[in-house]
Amino acid sequence: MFGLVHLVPGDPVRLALGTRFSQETYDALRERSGLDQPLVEQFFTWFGRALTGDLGVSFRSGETVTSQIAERLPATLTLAFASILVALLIAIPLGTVSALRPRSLVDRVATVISQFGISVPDFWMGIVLILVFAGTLGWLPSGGYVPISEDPGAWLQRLLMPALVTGVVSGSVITRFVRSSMLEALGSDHVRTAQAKGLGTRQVFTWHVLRNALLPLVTVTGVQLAYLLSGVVVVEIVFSWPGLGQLALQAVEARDYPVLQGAILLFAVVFLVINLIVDLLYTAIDPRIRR
Amino acid sequence: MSIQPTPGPPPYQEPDDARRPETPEEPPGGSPQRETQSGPPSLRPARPRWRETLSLLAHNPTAAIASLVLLFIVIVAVFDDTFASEGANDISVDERLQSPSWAHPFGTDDLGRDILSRVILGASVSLKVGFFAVGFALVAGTLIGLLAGYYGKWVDDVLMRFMDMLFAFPAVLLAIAVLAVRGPGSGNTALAIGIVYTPIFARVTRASVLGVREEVYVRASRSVGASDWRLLTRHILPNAAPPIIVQTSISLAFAVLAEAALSFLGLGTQPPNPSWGLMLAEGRGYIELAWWLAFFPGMAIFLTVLCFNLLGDGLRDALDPRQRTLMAGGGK
Amino acid sequence: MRPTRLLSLAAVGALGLTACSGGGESVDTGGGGGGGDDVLVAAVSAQPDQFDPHVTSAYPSFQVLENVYDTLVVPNPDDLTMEPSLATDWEISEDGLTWTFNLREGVTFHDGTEFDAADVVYSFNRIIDEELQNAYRFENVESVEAVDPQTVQITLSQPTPNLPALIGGFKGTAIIPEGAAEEYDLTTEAVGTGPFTLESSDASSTELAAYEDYWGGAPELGGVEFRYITEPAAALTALENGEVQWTDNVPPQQIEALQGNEDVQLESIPSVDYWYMSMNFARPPFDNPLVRQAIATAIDREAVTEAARFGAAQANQTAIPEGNFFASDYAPFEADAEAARQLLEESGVELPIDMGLMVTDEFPETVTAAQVIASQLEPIGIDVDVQTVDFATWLDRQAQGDFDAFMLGWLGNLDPFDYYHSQHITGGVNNYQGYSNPEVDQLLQAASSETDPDTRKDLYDQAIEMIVDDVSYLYLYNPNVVQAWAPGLSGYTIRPDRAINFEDVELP
Repeated sequence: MFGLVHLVPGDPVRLALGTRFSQETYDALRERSGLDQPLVEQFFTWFGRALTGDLGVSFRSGETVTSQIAERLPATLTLAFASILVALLIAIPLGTVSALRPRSLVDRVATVISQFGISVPDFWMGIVLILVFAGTLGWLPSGGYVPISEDPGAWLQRLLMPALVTGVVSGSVITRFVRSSMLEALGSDHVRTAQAKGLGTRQVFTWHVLRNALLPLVTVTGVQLAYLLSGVVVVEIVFSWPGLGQLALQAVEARDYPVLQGAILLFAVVFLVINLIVDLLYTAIDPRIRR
Repeated sequence: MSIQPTPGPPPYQEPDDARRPETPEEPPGGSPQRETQSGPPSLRPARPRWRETLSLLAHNPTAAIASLVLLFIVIVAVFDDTFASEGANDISVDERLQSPSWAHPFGTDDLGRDILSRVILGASVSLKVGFFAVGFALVAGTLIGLLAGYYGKWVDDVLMRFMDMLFAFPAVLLAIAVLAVRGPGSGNTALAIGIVYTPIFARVTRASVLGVREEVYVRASRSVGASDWRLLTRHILPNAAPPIIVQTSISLAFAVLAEAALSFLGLGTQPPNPSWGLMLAEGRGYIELAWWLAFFPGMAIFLTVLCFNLLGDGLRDALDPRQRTLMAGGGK
Repeated sequence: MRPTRLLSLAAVGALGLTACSGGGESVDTGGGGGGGDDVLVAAVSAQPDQFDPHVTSAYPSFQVLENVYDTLVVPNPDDLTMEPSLATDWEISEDGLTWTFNLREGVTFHDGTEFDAADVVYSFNRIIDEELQNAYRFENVESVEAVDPQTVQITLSQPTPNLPALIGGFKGTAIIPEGAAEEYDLTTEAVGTGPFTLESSDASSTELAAYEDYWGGAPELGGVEFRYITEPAAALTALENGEVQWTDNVPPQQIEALQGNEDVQLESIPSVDYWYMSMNFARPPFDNPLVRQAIATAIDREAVTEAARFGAAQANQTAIPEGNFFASDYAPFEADAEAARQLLEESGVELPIDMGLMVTDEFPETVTAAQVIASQLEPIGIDVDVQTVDFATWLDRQAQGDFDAFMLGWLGNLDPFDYYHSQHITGGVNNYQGYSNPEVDQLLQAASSETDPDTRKDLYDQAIEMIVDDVSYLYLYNPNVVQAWAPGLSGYTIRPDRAINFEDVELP
């Protein structure tokens, strides 16, 4: 990972200096950033520090990487969880309706609706929302982020549009999962057995279908959450949302290796933690699963 | 969709085998529908039934329409030179930003180019990026997933951890890395997207292989001494294929969107060649001035992605043996 | 004493009102939340990378720092000639080697300390000794000394007539209090003498508050909030519905529509920036002057300008727009494909020529212009491959000479030394194209130390004619500065060097 980050061509020092500078300035900055050291040495220095929780200092801003990440974490968390909420609010009803009546008109309409969300590029949806709701109608601010502690009303107003865009996208993905896993559960042997035994529809549905359908739902929600937590660059840019995605993009553009490495490390940890939580939830939902 | 690949909804995707314990619960000998699929207890599993699949697809109007529209788009893309008026990239500043008319049914863009012609040319660029990207991910991911799922143990661990790492790596950086190392161009954009999608195919394939690895016919075949290669290619892959096919269709949709998102960030197709994503990204600065700049390529993306997704959904229904019986037989 | 300084600064930030009431006129600073009535909200397109004026090179940082720090001298907002700021006046010795600056009295830094000569010496020596970003500006400086608390003497190794532009052209040579680099974290804190103090900065905005003890008189505004809005559509929407009162995030194609918009006041004035294309002298056939001249003849600058800037620019064959003291009206090329074809024929080079033209999406207008250039060169037998790369890759390839041709601009050009010397002198740090002409070298050397303005202009005029003839740079156009603000906003001056200063601004 470290190697990959450094392999990308482009010189952070040159970028930091812009176009007007002298060779001496260039050498001095290179030395200060430790970039004149061999790559292996740079790696061990970084790794040693990372173990102690010190992710280094950004080339670009001179702030510590941890503080830069911490600064953007609340915005990212807010948007990620709000989006998942929107997504589930869309996905569960839509997916259930279409699974209960497969191939019916209801199913087809629900499918097409759910596909709309992922068929429109998100930056496009975002810009159109801004022009309509912030521009023409003037109901919402055009973007930005206000911490909930500062002004809950303003917080909500600014959260609505970005959460809608990312939520619709994630929601479309989850809808299909809900539908297919419910269909699968409906068609599975024990549900058919249960039906054959003459259990009531409602009972079959709650006890057998729902529980079996819940497992894949947890999985896909987990994956979506992991993806949302690593930042949604495009939506963040459109809505001026100060999240981790923008930080990672800025770091990539500036070849700000310490920030980039810190961000990737964080994403990897988020990924692992969410997988762990998903596993735990599995056991909670279905006690038969003990590994 | 953003370029971070939403791990497309692989219908059978199971991030690990946590759900496996269900399988042993099935009555030994397989359920009736399982039998129809794997055929009578011969060693040879039935190939996915193409004819039946197609007829099921044909009976699913949304999927059927989607296929037709896609066919049309592919034809346009293949014969783009014939359909597009000559000099689609010719610049004529005097004629810029003209609204749709007979001469220019979709209007002209900020450099006076005919948008209809560029949307047609863009079809081949966008589809090429999509097919190359997904083709790469399909081949690489399926291979890795097959090996990981079939051999298990350390092979599985090494390969899948590597895939996880790739998955956690920011897609934008991957794209910049590929473009910076190999130079800009739509081929390399496709490669970048392909790399990003590889882990998803690896996971889908692996999960699917795990499902068929211990089936009767595979075990039987192994017991009579079939080679690994033969087992993999003749028995496991064909039976693990349906989820991969569905994933392919859905990934094509995501790849077209990913190309658009990369173009928004300035990392996509190189001007003056048009791709729909690039046209849309460039056109967004003109929404209020000249809506047609972004509207037509946007519609093209929307239609294509929608159709790939609907086709994917249809394929899933048609290829899933359980649901197949559910639909064909009593079910509901 | 040192720790208390920091404390008092923090106190000013936290207790805005209390601290301000001591300053005579009691102004509501609007608090930290940006909700105050007299806080101007400015939409800028990017986040500042950091606030150390001697280290950063980012324009978004200088947008903020312009309002926080001062320099000894500053460019006048109209014609950009240098006028007094922290220095009230200055004398030059007969030999042109000693400059004596008399400093303004009664100036205090934001932490309350008095400004004096030691601060100037400290600031300049910090840049020189630590080889910081702007060290190249002090190349001719032998020493910076404090004669007395109100007088600074700069000794030079050779006459440097453009010294004021070098030390006052922008806030990269700002004056910080003595010892500030050790005492404060200048990347996040700012201790200047300017009209506003830096209060806070996070991932969505940077906030400034009025400095009541500013030597030029306390600003009318209570504060300024710089909000980062990258997407132009979002920035303009925010301006139209009153969320922000000022923005420079205006794409050129919007100018016409915005001029008729009652919710927006828009201004577009010529800047001193220029955009150019340059070819690699080390790569045949671009080493052939006839090939370069053919390309310079084939390109229709008016069409390029119109396409890339929608009229918000002036085509130019030299660097600086007319009206500037150093402007030259030299314009030998006339867009003519036939003449270009003849030049190519004369050159004897085999056709078609393949040319990679490297541009960057960091500056989208280069991508547009490159497409137009490609379409103009194609008919004369030059196949242009437009290569759009990200800026880091772009700079890297430029530095390594890995290009056939590239396009970029030089911004905020104040003195010809800035925009001719290192770009065209043999081996100059910015001479990436590898141009070398002994006559030009001589002229540039002579001009750099010529103290008589008219003679100096004459030398540069001679040099630029050769530079243009040899097509070291193929100059394209001077873009306009385009900014928009809320109707009724007063006291704001749009400047050709893109510096933005809210010192005298009053909200409607």
